[in-house]
Amino acid sequence: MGKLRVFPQKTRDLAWRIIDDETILLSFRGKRVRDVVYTLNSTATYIWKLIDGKHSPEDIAGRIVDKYGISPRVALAKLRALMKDLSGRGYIYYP
Amino acid sequence: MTQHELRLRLARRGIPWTCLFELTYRCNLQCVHCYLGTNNPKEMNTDEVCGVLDTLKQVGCISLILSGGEIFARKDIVKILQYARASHFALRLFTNGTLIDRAMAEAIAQVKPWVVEISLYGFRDVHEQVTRVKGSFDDTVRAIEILRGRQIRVYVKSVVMKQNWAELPGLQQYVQRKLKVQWRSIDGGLQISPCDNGSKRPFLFRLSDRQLEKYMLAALTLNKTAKRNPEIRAAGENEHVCGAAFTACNITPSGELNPCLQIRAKDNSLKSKSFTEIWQEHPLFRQLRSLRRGDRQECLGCKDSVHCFLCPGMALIERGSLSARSPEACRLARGWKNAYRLLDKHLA
Ligand code: SF4
Ligand code: SF4
Repeated sequence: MGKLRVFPQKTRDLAWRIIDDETILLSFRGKRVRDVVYTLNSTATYIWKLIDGKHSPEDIAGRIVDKYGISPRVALAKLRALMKDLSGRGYIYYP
Repeated sequence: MTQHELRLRLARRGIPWTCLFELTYRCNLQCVHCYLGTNNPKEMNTDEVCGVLDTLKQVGCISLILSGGEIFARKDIVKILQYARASHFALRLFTNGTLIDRAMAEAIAQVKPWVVEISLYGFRDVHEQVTRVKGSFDDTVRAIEILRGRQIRVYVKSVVMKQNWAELPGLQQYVQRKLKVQWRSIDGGLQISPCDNGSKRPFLFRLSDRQLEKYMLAALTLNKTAKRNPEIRAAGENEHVCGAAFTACNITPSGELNPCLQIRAKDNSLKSKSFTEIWQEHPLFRQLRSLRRGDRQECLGCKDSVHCFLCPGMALIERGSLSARSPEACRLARGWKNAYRLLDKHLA
């Protein structure tokens, strides 16, 4: 998985809450506070909880396969897309 | 989704988006206009404060304002900040800044607050007339510089009073150009509250009508807000009057839950009742949540309402009713209307 082989972590200049299976993310990085609030659906929330610096992307993909009964290939593709999005927004990083 | 939309969405699910948590009423300054009375209630200890933070996290509150008194007067403040960060709050710290040295700035940087908001009331002489502590201007300015050096977002705000109104436009420029941080007091600092113990002494520092008009005109000119006249949109009659008990709450140093700083409830201790019980069942919270703009019979048809910042808390203090017309709000609204009119004339 190339870059995804390390253990991803949440960035610290971020506030978040999980409410009824949905995650609300509020970023206050940079000079101006962005007014935009980002939300994650229940599947993404499940992944968000596993992004803790202790789970590799492979571990997380395995958990998705177990929980949602999808193929490893689909799980990995979905995970890659989400991680790319989250790291692009500065919500997670690869230490 | 914008933050405003999030606030409403959470509120409709019964979740306060923000809590203003007063950690202490102790303070090393003695500001003349301070709303805190002289009595210092028994403060919650570190574990109790952290317990309250757990509760706030559990109910879904995401924005946390830590305020005082002076929060850095608490010996356990770093522990509290670290706990709040580990609980993933968006942290806003209200402080006079004077107790922030390099080591404290480092601790603040570690917890990555959203913002540190610091009060400055004027240049040295005027600021120290207000704070009644020699050296406080230099201490506050030094803190702003240290925090900025650590890339911590700082907003400077003020309260507009008889003592300082004439120099606030100059102070704003100093803050923006020399201190290079944001200035946050264009109109928000105009509302002066009475003391918690009922004393109306701070009202002595309110501006006269003439001073108000001059200050507002200077502030509008400086901030080039004329084109946005009127900035405040006309709100629908079915809208909530404000966020108290809807999107926001307040917690005191001894653990009482209030709808807002301006509206203190009774029988509201988190030591004897749960947050949810008070938030959902307390009559004052329910009353505030059901209050709509249209309920303010005395305000119906008011032509100045687009300029008016209606505060039910102030109405309660001034008139004894949350839905009354507030004479001070009327005066401020009239002031803004006149200032915009003068500015338009000036620009034409
Ligand atoms: S408008 Fe007044 S009562 Fe409402 S939240 Fe603001 S200060 Fe409190
Ligand atoms: S408080 Fe005064 S200015 Fe504000 S809407 Fe009511 S009547 Fe108008």
